[in-house]
Amino acid sequence: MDTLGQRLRELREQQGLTVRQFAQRIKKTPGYVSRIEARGEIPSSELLCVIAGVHGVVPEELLDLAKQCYLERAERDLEAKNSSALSLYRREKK
Amino acid sequence: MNSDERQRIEAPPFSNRRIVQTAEELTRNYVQATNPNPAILTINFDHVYDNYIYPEYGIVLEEDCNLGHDEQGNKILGRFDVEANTAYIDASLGPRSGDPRRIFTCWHEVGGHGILQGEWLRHQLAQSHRFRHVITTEDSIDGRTQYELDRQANLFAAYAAAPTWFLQSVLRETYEAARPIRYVGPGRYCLSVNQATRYRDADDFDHLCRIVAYYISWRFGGLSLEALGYRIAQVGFITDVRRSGLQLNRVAQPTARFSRAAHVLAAVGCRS
Repeated sequence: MDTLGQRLRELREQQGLTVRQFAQRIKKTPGYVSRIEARGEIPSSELLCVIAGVHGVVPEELLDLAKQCYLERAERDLEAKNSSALSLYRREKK
Repeated sequence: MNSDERQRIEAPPFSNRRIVQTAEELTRNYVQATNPNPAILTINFDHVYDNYIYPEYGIVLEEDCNLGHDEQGNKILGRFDVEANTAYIDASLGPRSGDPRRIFTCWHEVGGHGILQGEWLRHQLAQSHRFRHVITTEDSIDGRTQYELDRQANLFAAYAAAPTWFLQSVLRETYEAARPIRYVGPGRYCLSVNQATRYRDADDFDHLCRIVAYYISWRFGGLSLEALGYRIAQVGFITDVRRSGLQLNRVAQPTARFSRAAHVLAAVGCRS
């Protein structure tokens, strides 16, 4: 689980909300909440602000975590692309 | 997990019947909770997980980790962390890999170890703090308890991924067969699939099961043809008349004419 998902789950549990109750509050499906909390999906900035309002935290905290997740993911994807390009290049060179 | 730790836990004393019931109930509850259109109902692990399992059980699923190899050098495909209530699936089986083993492995870890055994294992954990992970390897299972835990999880996974009530309904809808398809040996079989005729060559009984599974696997979220074919045989949709033929000979004293007629009927029934 990524940090954003973990934090969102923590906040929800602190408020004693189930996934279904929380989904109702932010007008999304429980499936969407599951994907955010447990599968690493990153919600839009607008939705993060709504979620911050529901949990009573400053939106900047969640937006920063989302940004961190984006950057980590982009770095991972880039590394994977680079390594596959390099292995292809080396194979062709042989 | 070393052998000392394995000895400290016991597998839950669940009967096969209870495991099957729990798995089938899970899928029924999912349908009740999400209320999907019955005409396009699918038992898709990802959808069941997102919409029912996580909201109800809080089991976290991580699929982008490298689980490495066990002591025997077998690739670890899945792991369940009892304390963290988290299932880990190796990245080699990740959603992007297209590996057909992914769905069954997810059901095994999340459903079998998480939903079925989770409470029991946490109770065991409270008694023995040394036990933490349940590991699934490709082909090796060490120890009686580990074997029993995996056997139960496999049984649960098979019935949750393709519950009998749904499987029978999908088979009825797709094949419109009034009676079981009978396998009489290698050869060409004629199947009525969604009111269209399909001819397929089957090498053996298992192959015919996989062929039948092929046309309905999309209703089961891409469950592997092997796993689905096994369940199709289990619900009796395909019967191997060559195996039951011996029983006929034992209980009756047929005349030569009756034997020939029975053989013809069997062949017609299977290849119609």
